[in-house]
Amino acid sequence: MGSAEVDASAEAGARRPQGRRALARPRRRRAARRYGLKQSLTAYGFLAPAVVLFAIFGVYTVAYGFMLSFNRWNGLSPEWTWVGLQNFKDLFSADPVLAPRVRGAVGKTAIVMVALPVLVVGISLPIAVMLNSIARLRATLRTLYFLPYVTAGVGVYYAWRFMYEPAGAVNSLLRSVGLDSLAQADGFLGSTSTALPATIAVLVWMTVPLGILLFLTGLQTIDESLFEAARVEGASQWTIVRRVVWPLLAPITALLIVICLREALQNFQLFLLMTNGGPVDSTNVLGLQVYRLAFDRGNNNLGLASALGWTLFALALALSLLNLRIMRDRTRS
Amino acid sequence: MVGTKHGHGRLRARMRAAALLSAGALIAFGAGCGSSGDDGGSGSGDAGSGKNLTMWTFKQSNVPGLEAAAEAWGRSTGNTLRIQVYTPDDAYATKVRAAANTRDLPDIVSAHSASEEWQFAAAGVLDDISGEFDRAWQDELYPSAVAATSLTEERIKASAANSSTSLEGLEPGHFYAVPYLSGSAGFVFARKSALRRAGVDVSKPPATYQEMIAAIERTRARLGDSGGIATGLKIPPTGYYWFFRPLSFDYLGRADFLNRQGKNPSVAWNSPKSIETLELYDRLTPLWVPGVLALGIDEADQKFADGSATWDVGGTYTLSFLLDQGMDLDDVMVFPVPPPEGGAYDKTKLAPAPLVSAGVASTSKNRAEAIDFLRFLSSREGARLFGEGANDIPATDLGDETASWNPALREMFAALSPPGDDVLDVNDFSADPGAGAGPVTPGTADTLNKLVAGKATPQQVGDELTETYAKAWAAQK
Repeated sequence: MGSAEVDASAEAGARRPQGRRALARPRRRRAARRYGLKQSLTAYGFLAPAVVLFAIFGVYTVAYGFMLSFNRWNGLSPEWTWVGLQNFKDLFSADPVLAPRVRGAVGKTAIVMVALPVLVVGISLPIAVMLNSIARLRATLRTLYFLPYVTAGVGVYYAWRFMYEPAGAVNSLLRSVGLDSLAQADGFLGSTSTALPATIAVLVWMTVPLGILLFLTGLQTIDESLFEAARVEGASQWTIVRRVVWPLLAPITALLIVICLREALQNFQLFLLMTNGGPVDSTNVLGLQVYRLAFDRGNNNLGLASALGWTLFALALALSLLNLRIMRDRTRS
Repeated sequence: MVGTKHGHGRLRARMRAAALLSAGALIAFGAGCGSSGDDGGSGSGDAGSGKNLTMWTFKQSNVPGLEAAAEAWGRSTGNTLRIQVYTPDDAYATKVRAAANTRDLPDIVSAHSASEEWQFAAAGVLDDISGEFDRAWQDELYPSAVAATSLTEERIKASAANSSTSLEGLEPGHFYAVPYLSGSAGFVFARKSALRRAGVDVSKPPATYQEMIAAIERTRARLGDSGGIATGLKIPPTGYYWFFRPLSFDYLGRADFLNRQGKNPSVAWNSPKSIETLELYDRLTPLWVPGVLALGIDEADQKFADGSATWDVGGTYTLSFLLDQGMDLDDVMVFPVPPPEGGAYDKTKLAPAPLVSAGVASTSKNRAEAIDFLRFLSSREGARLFGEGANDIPATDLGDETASWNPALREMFAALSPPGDDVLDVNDFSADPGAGAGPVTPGTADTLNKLVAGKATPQQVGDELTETYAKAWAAQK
């Protein structure tokens, strides 16, 4: 073999692997693409149910409800009637029968919105602090306090309704301890002055367990050394709660207040089953008014119900943002 | 290494299979959620016997009567009709709405007469049956029941004011359902044994409103809380529809009664005569059972049935519920809300209004059989079976056949009168603003409850209602 041949064969030998590599590269790329595609399809396959279900039950229903708030529809007729902003006008001023009722419902809802968070925080925080400070029976008591939250709502509402009756347990208890003057002849749900406080009490009773659980979770994340330092400084238990515990639990308090506001704005089932908004609209809150607009026989108008529902949503969103902002500022300061 | 590669391969294959399954499940779910399409209705679709039909109702107490009629009809035709009940009323209406949207309606749909049946028809739930519901068939029923279920031009025009309940797609004079239950609100039930204990005469019912008030005062004084009167005021229209309307109709007379609700009332809600009607109603305020404002309709009837109340306000339809609750028929006295002394009429007369009708679903494949059953239900045999089974008043005029029925039901039959100037059709709200029982009507009921709650005087209630009606009429312009 001449040198030229050797060079040529060496060159060819050197080129051959490069050519194979060059040929193999697109093949590998194609394989990688195929693999990537398969991976993607697998991922999309897993994601599809969640995406489609969310699209149907989330995006679609929200968009549907929003469109409905500008229309009139009784839920039966094949077509909607476009009314623009008229539903909103009717709700708050134009309809001479409906508007005063909605305004009344706004007042009742405002009372629930103030009373529920104040009472829930005021009751659940001390209970959580006490539960956190005991070693024995803590788990048992925690389970006990949480029971109202996991008990089926409808059953609870009916049980409370029976207890609030004129001859019910609450009146009997009051009379048996000599508090006859507090007993209600018409029961606690049959009087315009006691129906709303009585229903708020049930709401509080049902929400306090959640407050206790949240506060307990928060308390268990606070470093024990903070308490010890405060005690060394001579702080009383009350001062520790006020100066140490309370500021550190501000984010949890904010969350609990948002939950309470949501409950105050959206809960209708309690009012529907216990009082149907009565007596004389004294417990007619906005959530129940939405339900009535949607389902009251013969007069139902899902457009008006949607309009009020969206108004409630806007209100809830604004209040939640405001609350979070205030609590965040307080935590920072 | 090889093993690992195979392991990865198997894992990938499993993941793909799981993803496919996941997507497949979604498709199956979607298919399950989808419209049943042509499967709406039941049965095979061929005319003749051997068909399986379904009927929906919202009144539990009507089920035994409907089943008795369905069984007799099935024996003679070879078809089967299944009765399904959904309660309460609101849940039923929602059920029909949902079924209409998914085309899962039964063959026969019950509806509140002269209101809901038209809404169902306007929405395409019920078919027009005017062709089959001919004169001979109509003659089987109470004339007032037929007249009330015939859709009028005025009713269609009035409905246009509210686009969500508009009947503009329907034809005047047409029929979309056949009434099978009739009767009237405006009856008072009393427990004879309690009346005897309180020394009240049970040989005849109170002749006037004042006599009734005196009797209730007596039972309240002698028997305490259980001597009071009950009704489901938690649902405010009960007090208004069932008691106050008959009372004020008798006191004011037809012309003033209608005028009070009208556009230019000479007898407004706060006129002296109207205030007197409110004062009459207010006389009941101390006589209701404790907590009456928190009682639902069934709860009030239960209080009467278990002896916690001596008096109960209801309608012809209340009796069947009371008997279901175990009340002894011989212990029940029933009479229409008595006329007040010094009023326009000295006897309360109530029109046998159609209460519940049944129509054929537009999706039914058994239309001929459904019509055949409705015709049977209107016949004397079908109506008798229904009335006896339901302890209620059918829409068919059974004449003397009712003599053998229970005495309380007979008393109620006796109080029903053919249409006339001094006869109240409790379902007639045509004088109200808002085309019938619109938003003003329940608002009126709420305002009346202020009297019961002691939150307003008759004058304040009259003033508030005058303002409400004036605004409602103005808004209609």
